[in-house]
Order: sequence, then structure tokens, then C-alpha cells
Amino acid sequence: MTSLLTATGLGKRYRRTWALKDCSLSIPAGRVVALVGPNGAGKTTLLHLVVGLLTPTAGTVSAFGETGGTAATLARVAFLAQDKPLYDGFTVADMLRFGRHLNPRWDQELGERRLAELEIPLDRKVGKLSGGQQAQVALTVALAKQPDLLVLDEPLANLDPLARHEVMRGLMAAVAETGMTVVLSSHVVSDLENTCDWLVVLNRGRVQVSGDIEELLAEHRLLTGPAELADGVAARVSTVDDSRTDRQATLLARTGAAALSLDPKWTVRGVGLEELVLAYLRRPEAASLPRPVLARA
Amino acid sequence: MIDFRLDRGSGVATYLQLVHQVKHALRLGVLQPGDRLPTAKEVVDKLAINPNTVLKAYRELEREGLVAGRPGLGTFVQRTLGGASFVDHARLRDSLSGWVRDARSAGLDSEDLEALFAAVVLDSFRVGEDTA
Amino acid sequence: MVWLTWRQHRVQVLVVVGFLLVAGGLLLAHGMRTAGLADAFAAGTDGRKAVLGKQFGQVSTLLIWTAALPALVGLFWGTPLLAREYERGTHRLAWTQTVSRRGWLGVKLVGLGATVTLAGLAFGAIMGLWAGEFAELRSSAGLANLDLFVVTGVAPAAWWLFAFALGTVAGALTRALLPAMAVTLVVFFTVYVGMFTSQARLHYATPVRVEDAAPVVRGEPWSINTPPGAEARLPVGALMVAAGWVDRDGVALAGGAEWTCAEQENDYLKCMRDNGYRWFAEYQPADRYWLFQWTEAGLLFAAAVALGGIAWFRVTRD
Repeated sequence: MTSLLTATGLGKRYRRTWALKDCSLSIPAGRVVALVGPNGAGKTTLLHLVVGLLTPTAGTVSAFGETGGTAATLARVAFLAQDKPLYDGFTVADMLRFGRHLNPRWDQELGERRLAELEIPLDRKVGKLSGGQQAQVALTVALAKQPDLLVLDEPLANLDPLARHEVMRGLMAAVAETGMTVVLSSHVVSDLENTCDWLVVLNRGRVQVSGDIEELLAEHRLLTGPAELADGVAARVSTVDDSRTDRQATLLARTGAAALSLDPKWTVRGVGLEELVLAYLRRPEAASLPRPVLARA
Repeated sequence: MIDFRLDRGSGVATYLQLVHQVKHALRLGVLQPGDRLPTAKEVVDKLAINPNTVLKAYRELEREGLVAGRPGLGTFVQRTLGGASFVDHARLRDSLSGWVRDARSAGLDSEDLEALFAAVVLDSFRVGEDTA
Repeated sequence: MVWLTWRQHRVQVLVVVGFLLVAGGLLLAHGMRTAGLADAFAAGTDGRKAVLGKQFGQVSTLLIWTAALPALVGLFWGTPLLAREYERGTHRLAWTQTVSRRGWLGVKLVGLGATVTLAGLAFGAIMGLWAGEFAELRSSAGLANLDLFVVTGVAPAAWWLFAFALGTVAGALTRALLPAMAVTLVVFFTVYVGMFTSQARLHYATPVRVEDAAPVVRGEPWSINTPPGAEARLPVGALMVAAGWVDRDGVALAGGAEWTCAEQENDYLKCMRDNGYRWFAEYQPADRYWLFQWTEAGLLFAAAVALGGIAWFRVTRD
């Protein structure tokens, strides 16, 4: 499994506080990565480090084996920042021209075709477009660059449900066509449920979870049973979240691939993605990371 | 051509939903051998899901011999799902009725029954085993 | 990248070009009218000088407002360059394209800096041509008029470039448009006015010293330094640096002796000479105009480069 995006011990400090600390990730190519976490967790900082808008205080981050922000990565990585910045006074056609002049590898035809399909007029000033249309223009500028890695910071924020659906649809279609890797952050997990296949949970500047979503869902179970048996079970499985009343205990645990033999008083069921994320966010000390892929010396 | 739908709240994995919909269409005769399944891009255009999910569903169907992918042309239906499955259905339904009677006389109510059944199904369809 | 620089800054460029055309046209008209009026008199006559003086006066009151020009350049060329990008977040769009941050900033600084400099040179040339009509006047020729000095020759180009660099670095440091504009205005006027009040220009070169029995007429009302009957004058177009009495040993007059002599009135000069005092004057001759122009331009250019360097480092490091 060759890693497209790798971070090793990555950290970023602003004055006295560490926005990110000791983050390590290894994400394979061709994935659609959901980067989730509460506000202030460090998602934007991580993404800015990946695309080279920030330099690390500690550790390294690289895409395609190259450090972020260098000529090698700038050509192959496209970034859509939070609030989807555009030049308000430019027309839509000007935004495409902007991309064409600043990127040698540019597909003007793809950009124009996409905008035509979305019925966004080329001669309209960007500032006069609706929020959803602006998002689509910003996304088109990113896609027409033909990136191998597309990074988006909260692309669905401030969009109405239809616009959100349209943006995700466009993203998935682009992935289907090009096989590019996508990393998108959100603090609304349900938006990402059917589209992402890799999950990274960031909490208080640290990576709590990084893994294939299907594997994660297969390996976690929600166990409900009598409180007096809870400690025994908790000792045998890797518990993420543990909540108890005086009679009943509910454990969200990483049970692994093997079947679990439990007292029949326990009910076992699978968990959804949002439940899983919430459980980890409630317990910052818990972590679910793949065994480290050590660098081949 | 088949029109896929997604039931986001069902808890069933998306790729499995697609597999079931293809099989259902085969049983009903909506899909015939030689029909082309929609490309990943076509499905994604409608449903806004990860294209890998579509490819995974098609791989599963190909593994079961129901479809075959031809590079550059698309994925095509190979065979129908025979009536034999209706016989199996009847047999399994009887056997399940027996189990339900058993469980009810042991004191389980309908929610206990469903929870127990769901857990057993989940364990049986562990997806982690397939990914290489 | 060249296209982008033009597209983002075309309004500023067009405004400046428009201004140059309008100012050039108005000054051309004024100069031609001046030439027409002055030609009614022969060269060197008082009548001619009176006409020239009056015409010059029509515009010279506006000269002080020309301080606003570089300030406006700093505000509208310099500050938006970085401050607006940071404020709107578009730097996150611009600096993640294939053109690197250095390329982006380099092209903009060089392109806009060169344009600003050329515009300033054009303005200096226009003002210089206009001022040429008034070369006969003491009050406007050579180095005599510092308000005129700063808007002719290469000085405007240097001031405009300096203001542009100042606005740019203010934007780099404050990362917000209005604070950057405020900082630019305050710093610019401190420097600009400071250059006048500190009289720094008087000392760009060692002044020429003249020691003479006869004091210099400065055109001021009768004072200790301008007794009646004095004949000698500074050369035309010279810039007065200092003047006064020194004694035999070269020590400047401390105070006291000239009052004693002043009571003599008509024999004031004889009295001072008899007491061993000599008149001295220090001035910058008119032919140092271009030396001073390049000195000022050099200082401002160095400052502009230093400021640009600060902006560069601030931007390219995180």
C-alpha cells in the first residue's frame, strides 16, 4: 500500500500553544478522506500544512513523497480553502483565466464544460452569484487544475442541502473520472457518510483515528449489558466509550475482526459512522490507529 | 437500465444495497443477460456516492458470476438468478418460523428477536475478511 | 502572472494614467499661457518677472498638495497588494496554484514597482517641463524652491516607489486593509514632513561657504541680518543653508555685539567690520540640483528596497 499522504510526528505551534501535536498519518492513494473533529481541533491547520500554506514546527508532512508547498506539490495539489475564496470583482471567465495563467497543467475545456452543465454564466461577476454557485465556481477552478490530490476545508459549510448534494455529486463524479485522492474536512459527519472511505478523527490537535471506514465499522461494536459484568468485558476489549447507570452499561468497543463470545445478557450491535466519531470525540484519550507503517530504511 | 436507490438510514452497507438491487432486478427479469450495468460515473452522478463503492458492488457480483466486466466497454449481466432461489426462500422461511416460535416460547419479544437476529447477521457478513 | 497583476490592479493603473494625462494637459495649457503672457515683455525686465511671478503663484499654492500624491500611491497601490489578499482570504487561493508564493510576490512587486516608478518619472518630467517656464525667477529656479524640488526630476518617482513599498509592507504586517492604510499614512507623512522640517536636504552635500564683508539680502524685512544698503546676493537658484557673522577666530557671533553696532544704523556695516566681524553664508548652488535629486532618490530607493525585503520575508515565511 503506497501512501499518497504521509505525516510523521507533525506538529504546529502558534506562540505558546500547539495547534497540532505529534500527528502521524498514512493515507493510500485514490481514497476519499473524511477529516472530522470539533471546531478548533486543528483540521484547518493540518490541511494548511498539507498544501504548504504553513510550515511545520515539528515533524514532516508530504504528498507523493514531496514536502507540501514545493513546486512539485503545488502543481499536483489543489486546495479549496474555508469560505471558498474567490475574487469578487472577477467574472467567472476571469476565474478560469486566473487558473489558466497560474497553472501550466490546466484543462480549460473541462472547466467550461462543467460550468455550462451547472448553468453558471461565464460573464457574471463572481460577487453576484449565489453561495452555491460560488462554491461550484471555486470547485471548478480546483478541478480544472487536474490535481492528483484535492484538499477541501469544510466545503459544505454554509451551503443549503441542495447545494451540498450538488457539490458532493460533482466531487464524486470527478473521483470516478480521474481516480484522484480527496481530503475533505467537516464537523458534520452525516454529510460524509456515503462518500468517504477513509476516516481521520482529529481532537485537540491529535489524531485519534485514521483508518478505512469499512474496516473501522466492522471492528467496532456497541455492547449493552448489565453494569456488574461491565468491568469484566471492558478488560477484554479495547473500550472507546463507556457509559453506565447503576444497572446498565453501554460500551462502544473495538472488538476486532474475530467474533466475541459474551454472556447472553449482552446485546451486540454495529455502529454507524457518526456514533463512532462521537464516541471517540467524547474520549480524547482513546485512539484507533493502524499499526505504524515503518519507513523502510 | 437499472436505476439504483440508496436507503441512507437502513444501516446496510451501500455496496450491499447495490448488490441486492441488482439481484432483485435479475430475479424480476428487469435485467437480462447481456444488459449493461451503469458505469461508476453514471451511478455517482445520480447518487453522489463514492465510486469505489460501485466498483466494489460490481466486483462482488462478478465474484458470484452474475456479471462480467469487459475493459473499455462496461459491466454486463452474465446470467439470471434462477427460480431455484424461490424454493430456497420457502425452505428458509419455514425454518425461520420454527426458530421464531422457539424464541418466543423462551420469552423473547419482537425487539429481542430482531436484535438477536441482526447481531447474528452482522457477524456472518463481516466485511473485513474480504479486503486484501 | 502578468495578466493577473494587470487584472487585479488595472483600476489603479488607469487612474494614474488618467491623472497624468489631466495634470499634463492642465500644466501644458498653463505653461503655454504663461509663455504667451511673458513674451509681451523683453527678457530680464521687471515686467516679465512680475508676470512670471504671478503665473507661478497660481500653481505654487497647489504644490503643497502634491504631498498627497505619493500618499495616495501608498494607499491604493501598496496596501491592497497584500492586505486585501489576507483580509479576503484569497491568499489561500493565490498561493496554492502552481506559481509559487515567491513567483507571485516577485512579479507583483517588480511589475507594480516598475509601473509606479515610470509614472513618477512621467510626473516629474511634466512638472519639470512646466517649471522650466519660470527659470528666470529666483524663487523657483534650481534648488531655491524645495516644494518644487520634490515634484520635479526623479524625486517623485522615488517618493512614489517608497510609498508603494511602505503600503506593501504595512499590508504584510497588519494583514488587514484599514489598519495598513492607517499605518501607511502615519509613517509616510512622518517621513515626508520630517524631510522638510529637519531640513535634511540642506545637507546632502557640504555647502559652499562664502565669507564676505557684505551681508546677503534675503528679501526679508529689515533685521539684524539685512541692514540697509547691502548689495551682495546669493547666486540665482541657490539654497540658503546658514548665514551670519563670525569673528576673527571664526567663532559665530554670540550675541550682544551686533546690537551695539545696530545703534549706529547707517554705519552698521563699518562698525561690524571694525570690530573684526565677517559675514559668512553657506548655500547649495543651483548646479547641484541633479546631485541632490539622485541623492534623495538613492535614499528613498534604498528604503523602498529594505521595506520590500521585509514584506518579502514576512510573506514567504509562513
